[in-house]
Amino acid sequence: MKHNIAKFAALAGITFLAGCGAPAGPGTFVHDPYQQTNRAMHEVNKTVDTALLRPAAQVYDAATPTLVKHLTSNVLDMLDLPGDAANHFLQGNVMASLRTVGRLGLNIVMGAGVLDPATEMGLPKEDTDFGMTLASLGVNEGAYLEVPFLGPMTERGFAGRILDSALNPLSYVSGIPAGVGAASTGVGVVVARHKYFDAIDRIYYESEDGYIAARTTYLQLRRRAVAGEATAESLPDVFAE
Amino acid sequence: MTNTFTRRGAIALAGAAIAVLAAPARAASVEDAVSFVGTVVTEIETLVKSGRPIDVQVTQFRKIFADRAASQQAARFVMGVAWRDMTEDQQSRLHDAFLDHVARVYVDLLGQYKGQTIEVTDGVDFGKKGILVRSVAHGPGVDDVAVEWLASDRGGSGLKLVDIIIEGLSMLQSQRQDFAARLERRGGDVDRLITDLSVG
Repeated sequence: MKHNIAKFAALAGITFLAGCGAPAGPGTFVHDPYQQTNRAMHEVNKTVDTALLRPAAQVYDAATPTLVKHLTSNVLDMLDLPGDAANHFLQGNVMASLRTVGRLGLNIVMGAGVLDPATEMGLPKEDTDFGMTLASLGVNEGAYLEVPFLGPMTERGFAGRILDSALNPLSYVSGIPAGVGAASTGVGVVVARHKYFDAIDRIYYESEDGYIAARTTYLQLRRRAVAGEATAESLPDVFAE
Repeated sequence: MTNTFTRRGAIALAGAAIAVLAAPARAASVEDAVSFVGTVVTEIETLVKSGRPIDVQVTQFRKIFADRAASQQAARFVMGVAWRDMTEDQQSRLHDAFLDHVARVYVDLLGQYKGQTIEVTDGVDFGKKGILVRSVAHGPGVDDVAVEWLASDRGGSGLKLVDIIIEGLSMLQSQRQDFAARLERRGGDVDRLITDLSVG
């Protein structure tokens, strides 16, 4: 319980920070005042990737049977559901929140937590997170950050990540050792590295400037996820200049 | 008589000319854009499935892109503020190098989507930004990929492709960031950038 309170306090502090982050001006693609530090962190992340994550993803690919990969991905998805349900609710999307609760119930009862009968029954995963909740509350994206081990992020997304980790059942259901939560995070990172193997390789190892490639890719994907669809603002105005 | 006829004719002609000038040019509809993108998609799919050598595909893709896209405006957009300080000769060479670069990048990318088919679904009008035509790439054993095509007739020569957006990633926005970084790494030397882009 104690560390949950600490997490909420940290969240409050970082939400304040995110709220203070100056928005990128109109027409400006990115607000990157910490570029020097971010670039150093990018090198840290690249080193970790080369030494650890990339080889781990290759081992995961070669050594894990397809069925186990599938079940692992189901379990990781399920751990997100309480957070998804809470965030849909906080965003005012009560129906999505209820569908997520229904999905969680079905997959626990009928899928033993490792199968995903809910998708077949018309309740697919509807991803969201606390960063999107902050966006729906009008909090600005803030500055771009590259966080050690977590990778590209915005100030708003970083604040959201902290509350999301508090909403992960492994961090609040009593009797689960702290190591299990950390292990699940580690597995999640390797699974994600495996899923986007070629795209991440291109960014780290094939781009002329990997930092810029990571920043451009992340910001566009994140903005699309937050908005849910293409927005006029996201489209280039090639006839204007 | 002849005189009157001519004068009448002239008045009628002038009237017609005024009517043409006054009527706003009919902007392309969403249906026009969907059908235009359908044509472009067919051309690209035919090329990818042709199984021809990569360098032949690059040359042909470059031709499709030069015909179908607003490539002048796209080249200017990806160069950002640097474009204004370039000479006309540099702008023209940059445009050529940009076409080479785009053709190589896309043939490489499309090679990974070889077994997939693209289904054009619908379009959304974004006013002066153009019409965004949505499509989905389906393939056996892989997740669907959302591909959007921004088309506009604002350039004045009919509908042209402006941007290709894959899963929310815009080709032009990405290249604008990428080109700014490339130029900075070359100390702002546009000629070096042009040479490096055209050779690969």
